[in-house]
Amino acid sequence: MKTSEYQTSGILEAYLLDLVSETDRRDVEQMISTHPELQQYVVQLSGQLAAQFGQGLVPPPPSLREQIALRTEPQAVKPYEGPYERRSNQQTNDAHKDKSDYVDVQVSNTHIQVHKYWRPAFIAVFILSKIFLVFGLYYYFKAQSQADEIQRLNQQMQQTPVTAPR
Amino acid sequence: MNEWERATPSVITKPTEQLALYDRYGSIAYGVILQILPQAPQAQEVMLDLFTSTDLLKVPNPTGNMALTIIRLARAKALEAKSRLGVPLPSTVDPDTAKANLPDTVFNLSFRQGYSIEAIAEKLQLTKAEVLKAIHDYSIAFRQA
Repeated sequence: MKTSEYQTSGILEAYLLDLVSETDRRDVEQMISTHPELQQYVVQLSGQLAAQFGQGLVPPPPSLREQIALRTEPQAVKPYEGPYERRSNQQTNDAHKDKSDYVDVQVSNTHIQVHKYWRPAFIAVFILSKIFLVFGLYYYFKAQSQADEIQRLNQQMQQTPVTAPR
Repeated sequence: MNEWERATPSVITKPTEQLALYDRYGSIAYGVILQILPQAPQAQEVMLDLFTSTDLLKVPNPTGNMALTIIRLARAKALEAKSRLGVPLPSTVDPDTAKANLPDTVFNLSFRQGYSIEAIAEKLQLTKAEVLKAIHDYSIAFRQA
């Protein structure tokens, strides 16, 4: 078959859209590999077919992109394992024996990670600081009022005339 | 040159590239899938499968046209889902009615329904060459429309 006849036979369109049988596919590939002009035509035709389908664009719903992004997210780094978890894992899992002491951390994470016990410690320090502040203010004002009282009594004593003993 | 006619890299290596492919070819793939599976929830399942599967990473791209590769893969996955869901194929096609608009009928049976060229030839009482010619005519008519 001449290449011009081959081009108009429809076999190339069927081949490019994956509509042909395995035998026909091999025949077409054989034909393309032996005819460079056909190879060029196939590249051109594939572009035309893609453009043809490009006329029937249907935008998918936006939520679909999020789902795809979630499913294709790389699972590159395992989650952080604290010293307590690591110790217990070492006791139960022999595979951990050969691992180094370095811990995989997510380099893209900008947050500092601390042990969970730090949270009650921070809360306790915060509450104690408030209690000390209240006590400090209380004793400050108490001392202030006592100082005022002493000053008032001194003034009162000075104003009172001293009577001589008989 | 049209956006879809441009050659694109044939090898996809990273998941982020899968997402980039979705951004670029998602609409064309969804259009193809809806032609085969008109129900939106099922079509969206096929889309998820298409753009998250590793098939996208290893599919051959002989012509260097990624749009066409996505179209082929979208069609294959939609037909696979259609047969899995047990959607019935049209049982009988009247050859006389079909011949009135042969290119459309042949393209519908082959591309959308998944019939082989030989099966269509038998169904419509045509030769294989006539069926292939109808596909060529459909392509020409679509381009001229």
